[in-house]
Amino acid sequence: MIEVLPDFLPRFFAGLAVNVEIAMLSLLVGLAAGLPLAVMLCAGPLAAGPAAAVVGLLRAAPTFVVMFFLLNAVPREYAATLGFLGDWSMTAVILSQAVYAVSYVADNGQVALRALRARDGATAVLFLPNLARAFCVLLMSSGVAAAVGTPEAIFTTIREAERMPALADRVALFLLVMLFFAVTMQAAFALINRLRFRLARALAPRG
Amino acid sequence: MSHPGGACFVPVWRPLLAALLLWLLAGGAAAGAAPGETRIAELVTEAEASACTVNDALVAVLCRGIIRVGVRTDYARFAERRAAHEWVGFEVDLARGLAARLGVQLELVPVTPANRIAMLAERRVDAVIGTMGHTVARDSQVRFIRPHYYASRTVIVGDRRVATDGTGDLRGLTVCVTIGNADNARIAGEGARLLLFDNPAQMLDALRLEVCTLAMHDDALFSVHLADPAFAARFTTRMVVSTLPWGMATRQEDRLARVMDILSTRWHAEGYFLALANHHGIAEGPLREEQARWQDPACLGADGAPRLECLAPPAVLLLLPSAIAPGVEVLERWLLDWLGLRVSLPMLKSQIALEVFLRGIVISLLLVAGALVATLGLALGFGAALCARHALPRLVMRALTGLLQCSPLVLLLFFGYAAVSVILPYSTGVALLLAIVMIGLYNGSHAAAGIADAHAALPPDVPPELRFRLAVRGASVQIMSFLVNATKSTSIASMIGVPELLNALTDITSFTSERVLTYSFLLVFYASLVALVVWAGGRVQRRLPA
Repeated sequence: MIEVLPDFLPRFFAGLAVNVEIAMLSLLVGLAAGLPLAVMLCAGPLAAGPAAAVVGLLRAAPTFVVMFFLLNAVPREYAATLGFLGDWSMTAVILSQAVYAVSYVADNGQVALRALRARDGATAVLFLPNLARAFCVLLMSSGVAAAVGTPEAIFTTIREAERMPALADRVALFLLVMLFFAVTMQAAFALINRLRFRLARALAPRG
Repeated sequence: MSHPGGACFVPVWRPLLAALLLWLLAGGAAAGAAPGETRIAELVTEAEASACTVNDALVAVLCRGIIRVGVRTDYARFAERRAAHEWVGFEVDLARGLAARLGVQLELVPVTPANRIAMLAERRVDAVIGTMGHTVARDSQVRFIRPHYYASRTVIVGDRRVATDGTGDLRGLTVCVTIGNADNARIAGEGARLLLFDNPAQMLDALRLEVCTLAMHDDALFSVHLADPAFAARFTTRMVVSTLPWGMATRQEDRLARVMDILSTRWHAEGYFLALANHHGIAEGPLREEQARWQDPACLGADGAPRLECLAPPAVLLLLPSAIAPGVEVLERWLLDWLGLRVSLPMLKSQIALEVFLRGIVISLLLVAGALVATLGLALGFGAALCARHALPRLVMRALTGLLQCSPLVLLLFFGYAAVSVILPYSTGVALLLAIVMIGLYNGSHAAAGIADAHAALPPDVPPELRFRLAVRGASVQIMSFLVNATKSTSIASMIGVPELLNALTDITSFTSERVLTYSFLLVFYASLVALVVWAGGRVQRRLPA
């Protein structure tokens, strides 16, 4: 297994960059659509009702199925226009991940806006570490893009494993990548928690 | 001159050139009338004498002065459109030969495997010469011209490093296929994961970019690419799936079909097909054998038409209609007539599709139920260990749940799949059980962390025997959200070959070509399951003691 690493690792990290790209763009779409929904949720019942219905629908939508739906059910002529990344499958992955991001941003944005109105800056500012947490979740879930052949990190790992004749090598490769994600994500979540803690302490009412 | 829909008229000199080639191959005028020529002339004369309103494609073609032939645009050496007016390939030349013989202008219309039959049925083309395999099932949809003009083998080409010898080795492997391939149903039945593409060019790009390790198509396509040393260094033919005769096709049994039957017989006997194949660098396949067959007068009727006993049979890739197919067709017609909705329900119309579809629904329901039980059970079990009084189980469980929480679910599924493969042979049951366990582990570890957090937040004066129960109560929102997440993520199990509804519908789509309604149904099905779990969870939460 060790002998494949020099060839595998550069491709794996190139794939990881694709995961980061998917997560960032999904979050951007999430912010663009989720923040207006958050504002609507905090407005009167006339605006909050429809917004809550939309957020509820998005929350219930299974992203993996949404990805396949977008890929297959959207007519090709629209797909060509919407494929803003030049590749409709990549766009479908981003939009399906954004379904989660929009509902997450709307939910957390609503909490932050209410806190701002109540002059509770400490709670409101937690929106930022929550966004970082959403980014980490999107980064991990972007691995579903492997199902449609997007060359991200999980896809690269699966293809490498398919070529390994020994099952034990395949298990070892998957375990290695799992450990990588575990260490990286644990570190990221620890940083986010630290940030949350510091922000909460800095902005807590004194006295 | 461009034409709506991307079709184009072919310059006049090309049909003339094709006609000249035909004439030369036929031995010129000196050789006298070729077999069947008299019958063709009779049929044309009859058609010319008919009113233009008669339901006969030859009459329509002669009245219009144009024959519209559906051809592919992206099939190397057979039919390629290199620019708006530049069409090249074996099938393009056949279309030119046909137009030249009928003395009409040729309009080439782009078709795909997914729409070529519909284009004929909707009278948008008069004939199709579009790499179409002649199968028993398609005999009821179009009129195939016989003898066939070519025959291909459907082969699987793959990465040289992936060991696969027979279709039995395909289980769990990703195979890139084009939509509409009649063999898709066969390899889906062998457990291959299908990745669908609209055209062969996209499929080949995917193979080159290692999106899939195997790709299935006819050898006519692959032979061109395997001739390229760079391609051949990476890929090789791994197995032959089936042999498929290719036929030109018209909409119905009429004069045009009969003229084309005689022309096809003559073109075999005169070596026109063979000469064109060599001209375009296409493997001869069975063409030389066919030439010998049709040069034999015993295979020709008195009018030059082919005798039935000499014809190669169509491939038997029959999609038998399901018991409810007539009812479904009535429903489709009713929706169209009364509501103007063009709805196609292919998953209900053939036996194999209905079987796959119903099995997909049952397995999806089992998967969701199993994932919910596993998530809840593992959340409570892991949660209990994380809240244990002794440090050792707490530390061990914290490390394990940390690993599980931070591993992408897709990776966990493939890890479990690889680990289980060491001790158990693959089966649907094993894959289903594995998916349930992995989805449960992933979501259960997240929910357990919620229980541990709630446990840590309890006041110190809470009695020990009540602490865990109160922690579970306190983390009920977290547990609920991961139960919902478990439901939402069940479809990911399709990636390790669990034949749940997403997998089932992808397989059905691969051989029926209908996608919009199929995937819309899939989305509604899974969203309804999630909504049901949210509703049931809400009821349970409300009944929990405060």
